[in-house]
This record gives sequence, C-alpha cells and structure tokens, in this order.
Amino acid sequence: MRIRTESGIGHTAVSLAGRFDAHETAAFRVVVDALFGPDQATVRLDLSNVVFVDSSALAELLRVQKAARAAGGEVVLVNVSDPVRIILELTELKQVFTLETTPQTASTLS
Amino acid sequence: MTAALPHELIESDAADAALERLLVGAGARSIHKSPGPDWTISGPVSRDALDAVNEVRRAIHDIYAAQDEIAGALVRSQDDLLALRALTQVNVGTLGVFESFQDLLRESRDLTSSDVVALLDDRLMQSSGGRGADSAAFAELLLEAADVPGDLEPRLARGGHAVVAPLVTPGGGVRVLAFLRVAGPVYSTGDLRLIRAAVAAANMRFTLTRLHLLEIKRATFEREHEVASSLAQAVFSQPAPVLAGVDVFSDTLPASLAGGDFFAFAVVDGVIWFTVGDVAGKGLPAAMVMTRAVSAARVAFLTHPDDDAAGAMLAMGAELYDYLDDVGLFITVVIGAYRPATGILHLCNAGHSPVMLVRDGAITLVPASIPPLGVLPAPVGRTVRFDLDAGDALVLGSDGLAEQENPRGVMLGYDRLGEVCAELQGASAARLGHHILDAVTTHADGAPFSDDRTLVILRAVEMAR
Repeated sequence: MRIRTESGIGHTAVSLAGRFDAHETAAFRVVVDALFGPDQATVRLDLSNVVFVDSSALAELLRVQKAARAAGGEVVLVNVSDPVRIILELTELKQVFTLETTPQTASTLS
Repeated sequence: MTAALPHELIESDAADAALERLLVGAGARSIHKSPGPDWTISGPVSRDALDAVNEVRRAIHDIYAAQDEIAGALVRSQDDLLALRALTQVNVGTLGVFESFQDLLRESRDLTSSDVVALLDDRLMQSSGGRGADSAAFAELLLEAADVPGDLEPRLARGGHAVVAPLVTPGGGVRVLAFLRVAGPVYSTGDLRLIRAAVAAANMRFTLTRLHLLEIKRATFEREHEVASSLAQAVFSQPAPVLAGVDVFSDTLPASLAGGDFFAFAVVDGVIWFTVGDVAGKGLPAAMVMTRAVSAARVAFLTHPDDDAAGAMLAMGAELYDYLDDVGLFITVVIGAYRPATGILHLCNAGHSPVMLVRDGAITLVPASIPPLGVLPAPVGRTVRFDLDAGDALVLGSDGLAEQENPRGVMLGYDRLGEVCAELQGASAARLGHHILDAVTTHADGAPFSDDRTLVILRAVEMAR
C-alpha cells in the first residue's frame, strides 16, 4: 500500500492506495500517529484507491478514530472506494466515521 | 613441533669435493678445511682463485641455510594450519558452551605458542594454560585486559609478552582474549596474524552459541504457541448440539494455528442458541480474544429469553467493551436463538457477514443493525424474527469465505458465495456445508488461505410427531 500525506493550514490529508490489510497497519500507524498534535486532531483519509480492507485495517481505522475523538477531532473518510464502502456497510461501521465525497483531483494517487 | 633453525653452516660434501678437485687441479698441494666457511691452501694457487672458491662455498652454504630456513618455515606453517584447523573444529565438534570455549582456548594457546590464553567478559573468566596461569604477570594482564579501548585491534601489552584482543560484543560490554608468554619471545607481527585468527574463531563461536540459544528460544516459543493455540481452539471440541427439529453443521479452520473466528451453541429449554463471530486480526492474539468472546456469549445465552437476541448482544458487548477497547480490537458477531417447536428464529447482527437465510433456492441477507462489538460501549441492536419452514437454512459464515482469493488475486465474493449457498435445495446441513467449503477450496485453486474460515448452518427440519 502507498501512503501519501498532504498538510495544509489546520488540516492534514492522507491518501492510501492499494491493499490495506494486516501487513500495512504498522506503516499506516507510524504515518498517521505522527500527524496528530496540539493543533491537529482531525485527519482526512482519502480511500479512493484502496482496493481491499481487512478486519485488521478496520480495527486500525477505529483506533485512529478513537484517538482523534479523544483529542477533540475526528477521522474523515474521503471518497471511499466501492470495496471499502461495501465493507463499511456490511459491518455498519459507516456510522462510526464521517464519510465525505469530493471531486477526485489532487487527492487521488496516480 | 616447530623445528629448530640451524645455527651452523651446513656442509655440502658433493660441492666441497668438486671444489677440492678444482683446487688440486689448479696446483694446490694441501687444503686446510677450517670449521668456518673459508679454506686455506698451500701450493701455487693464486689468491684470486682461492677467494673465488671460498665465495662459491659461502654462496652454496647460504643456499643450504636458506633451504633449511624455508623448510622450517613450512613446518611451522603446517603446524599453524593444523592448529587453525583444530580451532575451527572446536566450533563444529563441541556442543557444550563451556567445553567449546575450553577447547578454543587450548587450541588458541597452541596456535600462538602462548603459555596462557584467557577469555574475559563481564561475567566470567576462563583460561587455558599451566605454566604462567598462577603468575603475577597473568594477574596483572587480566587487570590490563579489562581496560579495553574502543577499537577491536589486538594490542601488545607487558612489553610485547602479552596481547589483549577484544572480541565483538553485539550487546555491548567487555569481552577479550588475553594471550601471555611468561618468559618466551615477544609476540611478532606473524603471531598477531594468528591471534586474529583465534579472535575470528572465538567470535564465530560466540555467534554460533548465540544463534543456538536463539534457536532454542524460538523452538520453545513455537511449542508454547502451539500449546496456547490448541487450548484456544479447544472451545470447538464439543460436538454440534442435537435438538429435534434442527439440523446443525459447524466447522472452523484457522489460517494459522489459531484464529479469531468462533462459534458456540447452547440448548436451553427447547431453544438452540448460537453465535458466530470474527475477532479482528489473526493468529493467537485474536484467538485469545475469541475465547473470551465465547465465554461472554455462553453467559448471554443463559440469561436472556429466546426472543431477545438484541439483549443477549447488548450484554455480550457490554461485558467485552472495556477489554476490546484496551486491546484495540473489535468483534463482528451474530447471536440468535431458534425454537424448533414453533419455527421461530430470532437474530441480532453486530457487523457480521455473511448471514443468509436460504429459502426455496433464494437468499435473504440479514444485515447488521449495529457496528461490531468493541466500537460502542452499549451496543443496542435490533432483533429480527424469521418464521422458518422445514428445509429453510440459516447460513452463517466468516469473511474468510467470501474474501478467499484465487492465484490471480480474484476473491470469491459475496455474490458467488450466495449463489453457492442457494444450491443443493433439500440437502442436509452437513452436505450443504461441505458443498460451500468445497466451493471455496475450488475457487482458491491452491492459493493459501489468507484468513480463518468458519461456517455454521442451521436447517429447519420436520419435527417427529
């Protein structure tokens, strides 16, 4: 899985591409945990190019969500791909996250 | 074993006889052969001729002396090679740690013609040697050896009669080989080369010992892992429950020794309670959580009426929430109760799939009403009711079925899994179960199972009158 981060004033966006499974959670954790700070509690995750998520990846997303909410922020899932959307619906985890759809331009990994 | 170097000139009878004939032919009447290299003669032989003969004799003697020196060096070299070979054999021929280092020190002592060789580190000191082992010089050398500089180069000590050679210490600390010649010659450059060979052998010995201990530790860990996995999987050792009016099939296969998938049953007052779940993650950590989930489910079975699957789910979720929150995991789970006498089935689904009702060759999905357990502190789900007829089957699986990939990376998928479940109308639960598992295996086409696979089927059957 490829992970790309973009930081702006007051927000940070992370774009993921590929399979997000148990083998990728450690690298994801290193990147995302480094983003949180006193002025940064909300993280936007672009999942438009994620082709698969497993339960370990979902657990990792939940962990980040809990950490973000504890800091007064949240995790926003942006442009979730169909495979991710189906899993979020099957598991009813879509109600745990804020899902957002935006025009896929710069946030899309090539 | 080292040959002594010749200190006197070596006579060459054949060459001297030839030179003597030359001098006699040139007019010498008598030849006085002195012990040294030069002869004196009487007779009409020129001084130049005598000098030339003596020059030839000296050259011949030098050649022979060099020949003997080379032979001596070859013998020494052969001795060193044998000692080096013995040093390396220490590594492969000895299993005991203490014995191997004793052998290594003894071979190092022979190789370097030392009186004592000692190994020191933070915890122990071993030495090999008789003469000199009790000397004051040895005691002083040990004190000096403990003061190791940063580099790993052997250094001369005690005026060249000792060498302190640090070894590699991956974990830090001090570890040195100390070589001592109490009264022998000082260590030469050649000796230092041999000492480096001894150091290399000692480093290799330590590396092999470390790897050996790591292997023992790994094997012990693996054995404990196997035992723990067996204990975890033992929750599935009970046979499927038997209750008139329902035909049950259950099977689970972890992707490794243990997994996070689970199922459990209980028959309570003419009702069969059941749960099927999947702990996020894989392997033994998930299995440890799984055993706790099974325990919580069994308690919930016994403490709720059969029309309150959501209540059982809430109790199970509340029991597990803090624990799951701490470990950062969640559990997808479905809980249900079926009363064959009435044909009424109650279900509550917390983030689990697939949950399918198969009726007359058609599939009805039972969606989740709440997220998996561990996400919400008080998971208030919804109980759904189905009235089953004989032949209807409830199929409960884990995501490892639909997400099984073939060698080209194509997943079986929930749609295809549903089609397979709808096949074999009228078949027993066991036959349908094996049909589904065979379809997954066929789809895998030799690709490894990347996730645990669990399948539970409850099929309503006519009750005996």
